[in-house]
Amino acid sequence: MSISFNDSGEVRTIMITGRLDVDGTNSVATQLVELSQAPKKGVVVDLSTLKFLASIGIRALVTCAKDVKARGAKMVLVVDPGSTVMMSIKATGIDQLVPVFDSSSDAQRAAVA
Amino acid sequence: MGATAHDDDDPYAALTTTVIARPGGLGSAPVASDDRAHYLVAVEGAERGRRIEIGERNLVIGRVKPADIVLNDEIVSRNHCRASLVMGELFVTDLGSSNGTYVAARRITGPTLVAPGERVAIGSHIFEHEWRSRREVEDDAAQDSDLEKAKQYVRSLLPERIRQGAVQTDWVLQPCAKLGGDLFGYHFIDPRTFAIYLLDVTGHGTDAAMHAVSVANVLRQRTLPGVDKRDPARMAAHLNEIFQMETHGGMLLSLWYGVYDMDAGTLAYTSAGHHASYLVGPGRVDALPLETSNVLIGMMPTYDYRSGFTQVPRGSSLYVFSDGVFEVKSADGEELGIKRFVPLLTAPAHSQMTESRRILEAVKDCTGCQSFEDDFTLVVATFG
Repeated sequence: MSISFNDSGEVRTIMITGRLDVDGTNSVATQLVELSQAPKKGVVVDLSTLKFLASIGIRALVTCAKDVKARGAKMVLVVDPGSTVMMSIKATGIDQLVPVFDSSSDAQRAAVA
Repeated sequence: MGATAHDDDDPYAALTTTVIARPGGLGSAPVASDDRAHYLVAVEGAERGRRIEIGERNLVIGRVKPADIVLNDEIVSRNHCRASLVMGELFVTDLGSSNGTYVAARRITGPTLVAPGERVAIGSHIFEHEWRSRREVEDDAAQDSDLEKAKQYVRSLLPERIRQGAVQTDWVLQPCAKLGGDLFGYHFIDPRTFAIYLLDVTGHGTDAAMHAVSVANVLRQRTLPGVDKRDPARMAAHLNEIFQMETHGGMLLSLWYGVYDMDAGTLAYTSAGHHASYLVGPGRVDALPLETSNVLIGMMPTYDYRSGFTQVPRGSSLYVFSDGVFEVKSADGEELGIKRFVPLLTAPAHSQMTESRRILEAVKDCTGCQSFEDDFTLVVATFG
């Protein structure tokens, strides 16, 4: 489980790897919220190498997206389209709240569009 | 796009900082505590949850007295093994047992060091070595007792199985150790209309279970002013109006809700952030997914939920379940997943077992898991 970030202009990209199950989410949720509060116009949460997304992880992502929106910024996700993570995203309908992209560059553009 | 310099051209050109956090690494190693003790805690077997403190005195574990620790387990020998502390470390020694003692999955031959977190198999019991402060253990015991009460309360709300009539039901709900937020129910809205639902609150513990109970209490009401309970989309929208996450402790939930019309032989349903339920016809050939693309309850205040609709051939069975049924990791680390789970539904029925039990056992066989990380909840309704 790891969480890391980098900043590029007005976009902050947060990368999460490993498994967002109960233990994984508990260990990164606070950092996710803190990292997403940087004064940037766009936040990309890159889940392209995430192995597993449980419902508690979905809750952490939704909470984060709402916080980002509340401060007038925009959050988008990067997800591997063929992954089980994408299946969880579709089943729970997060993609109707947070735009989802296959590639990091598309996500970065959309985050500040 | 114009030729002006833009960050998009090289997304990492203005890279300013990178931080890598590895939770669970050295930074979060447990702080040494003065009152730490060694425990063997049963994580599998008939006495799951039993905690044995290993002190200065050697303890003999066996099937009968005069062993210090008696395990009621047929394949444990009379004097099976000994646990002792040597220089503050836990050692286990097999005492010539018939079926052996295993540490970290290896049969031991002499005194063997058991590191904290390692497992010891004795007969059909598996113990984990915990090295923790007594105070922590006492706090956990108090919390476990609260969780146990919450589990019993959730169980008391579950409906009776219906064994005869035009709609018959059968279910299994095996709560996980931490207690997930699963709850289900069914009832007749009128003598010819049957409603069935399953909800799964995100997260674990008593707060998730309490939220599940609140939502289920709305679903259980016979009538709701201004809401037609026969209309699944309207029902989901009603719950969504009440249970927005901002006013309910950040809780979200997924819901599957179906309404069977006996006279018309039809099923209307909605899945709100929930995977499909499956309808298996009397010939048990295919499992038809019943899913509508809707968001979780509590996420978007003004969401327009949609329903789906299907004909139900007589003798069909409906399988409604939580994700804990298929998000099961086997010993080799591979996830069962819904694609491998669904074919279990159409496998032949078992003459000695209820359908829900059959599937529970099939998942255990497929994955080698005897206990699950999440609630295992599966309801089967058969429409005659």
